[in-house]
Amino acid sequence: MQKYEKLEKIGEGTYGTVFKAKNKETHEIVALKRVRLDDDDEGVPSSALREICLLKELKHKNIVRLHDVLHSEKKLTLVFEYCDQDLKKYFDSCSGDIDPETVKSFMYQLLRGLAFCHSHNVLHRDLKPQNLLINKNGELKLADFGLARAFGIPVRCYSAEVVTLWYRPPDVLFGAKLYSTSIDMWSAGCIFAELANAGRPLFPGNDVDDQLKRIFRLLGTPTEDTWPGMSRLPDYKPFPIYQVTTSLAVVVPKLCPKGRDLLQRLLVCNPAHRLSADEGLNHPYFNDLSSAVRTG
Amino acid sequence: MALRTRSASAATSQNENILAGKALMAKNKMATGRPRAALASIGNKEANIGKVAAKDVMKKKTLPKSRGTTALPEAVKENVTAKKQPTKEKTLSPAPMEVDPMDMTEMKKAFSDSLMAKVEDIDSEDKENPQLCTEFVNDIYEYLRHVERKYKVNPNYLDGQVINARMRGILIDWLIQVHLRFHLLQETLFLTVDIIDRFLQVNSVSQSKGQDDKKVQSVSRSKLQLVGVTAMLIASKYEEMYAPEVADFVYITDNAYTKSQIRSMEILILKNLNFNLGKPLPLHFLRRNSKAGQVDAQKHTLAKYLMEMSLVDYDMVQYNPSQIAAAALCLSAKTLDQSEWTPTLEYYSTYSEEDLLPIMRHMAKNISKSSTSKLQAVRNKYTSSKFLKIATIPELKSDYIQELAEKSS
Repeated sequence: MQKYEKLEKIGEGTYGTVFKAKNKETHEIVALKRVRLDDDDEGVPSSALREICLLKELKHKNIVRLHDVLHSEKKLTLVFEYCDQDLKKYFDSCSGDIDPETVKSFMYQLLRGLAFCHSHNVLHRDLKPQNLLINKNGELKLADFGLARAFGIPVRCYSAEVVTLWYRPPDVLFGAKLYSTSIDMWSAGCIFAELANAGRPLFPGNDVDDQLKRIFRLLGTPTEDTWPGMSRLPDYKPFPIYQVTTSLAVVVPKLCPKGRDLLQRLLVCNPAHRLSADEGLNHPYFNDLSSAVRTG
Repeated sequence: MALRTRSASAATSQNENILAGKALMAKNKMATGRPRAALASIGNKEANIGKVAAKDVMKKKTLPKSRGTTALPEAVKENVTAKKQPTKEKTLSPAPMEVDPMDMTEMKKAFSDSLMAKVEDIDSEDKENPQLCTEFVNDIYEYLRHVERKYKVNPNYLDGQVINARMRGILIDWLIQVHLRFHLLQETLFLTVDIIDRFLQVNSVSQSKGQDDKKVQSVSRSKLQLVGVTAMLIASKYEEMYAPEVADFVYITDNAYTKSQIRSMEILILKNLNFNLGKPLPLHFLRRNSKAGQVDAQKHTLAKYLMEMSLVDYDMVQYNPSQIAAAALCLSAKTLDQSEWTPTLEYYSTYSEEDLLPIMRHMAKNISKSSTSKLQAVRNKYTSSKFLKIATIPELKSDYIQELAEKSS
């Protein structure tokens, strides 16, 4: 790797290690994601293959830019634009307080990046704060497309082993393999609440059961009336009927009423009724969004 | 190596001996103990070993139902969806699709106001069904049409190469059998062929630019099968939930290549294709068209048969997936019940019947000579009941098909 000088290790992706590095000629700072090929009999891992293919097509200001792919016999190196931190680290650095304008800006950018993915037939399938990058200018970018995939219409069955537990929607927790863009919208809702609470996760479950209980305790246990077909999902099992007792105002006290309305429409157990990214962008919560963010 | 047998015995050799895997199939037919049931004897029919093989392949997989996507369930499912919507004469708003300016003009040209009034909004009844992505569906198809133009395969791209149309046909015919044996998704097959064509095309370009005529860049005959199985490996990794292993591909070629040769070829192909695998497939467009036409399982299956027949036909490589899909459905519908290519079909496919006619003639020719062709994989596949025995229906011998075929240039 002559062209880049490695500076420090930033983290681990779905596959491979990520380094901060400097282009020796241009002095541009980049992120290098390294995929070793020699220890894998199967050649290029499918996660890397998909991430590269998909990101080549997804060129958008709210999606991390893949500059280049370098390959040698023993490794592939993905060269990404560099962002200063991910949303998780951002939470750590702001010690329990994010101003409402920033929450709104980040949420808008998240939905805009997602709308772009979805209209280019790509599901992200692993949205969480660690996979959202934030740069110095307050720009948010979707990253780590290692679990992402292109989808056809009608969608067919895909793996149910997707999305980190805390951000996984109830239909997938019940083993649904036939899901669509709504899978990412649930995660976006969870992230929205986490943003509003400056980094406190909304549903930090310990296992699938606990995860579903936490969801149902807040939103009420869905029924065949509110969610037709739920009981036919592969891993469905009955849960106690929780009634909605806590209002979202208690859960996300700092979020304005319009914001709570948006959150409510994202956190819908029945995937058919979950808001789409486009609809989210047009929600009244964003009416007073600064024009710099809207056009930025 | 794999294709060397072919070069040795040249013109007299039977197709069966050209690819190592074919020899393997023959060998296994006689063998009493199969090394791996899953990969054994491609030449054998489902009835004999299909069940055992399926089970074996699925051991790796947690989702048997989604595997081996076959024509029938899919067609039936789509059929059900289509039937749910009653035919309604609905006028679309003036700008139903977000399209770029160039496409807009094309659209306007193609659709006079009076014609627009006859176009149905085929998604209006499906807002509740998230699997159909109604909020994005028109954007997505517009995008897919843009991408297919970007990654076109050129006609006659094999000119000046060692590989010719016949070898390409034999390779793809064999891969169709491998695909069936591995129980892979339909998407994987179409993507495999697209990868092969685009890879061979890029190589032909670099060859013509080459300094001397050593033909370093051009794929040699002995490497063609390596390109084929590696393309299928890549397509599987992109499309499948559980891709076959590299070792499975080594086995299916009767050890003509090593695992490390396949891995090196994988990098070479990805590099040459610049990692662009997101090209839409005829299947994607067919599903949309079948919905627009509310067609039944038989028409949908016949269209798939016509599309798959086109895969082995080198003379059809230059047609875009959306053209192939539309022509296949149009020909299928005309063949089965002379139904009309409606304004709704024209609108959603973006092609008029007139646009499609040259491709339909080509497909009719392929059908009319299918019983005498040496490449029988697709025809055999579509004689099974899983595919409604569509290759055997009498309509395919109709005067209509014959007349169309005769007009093919």
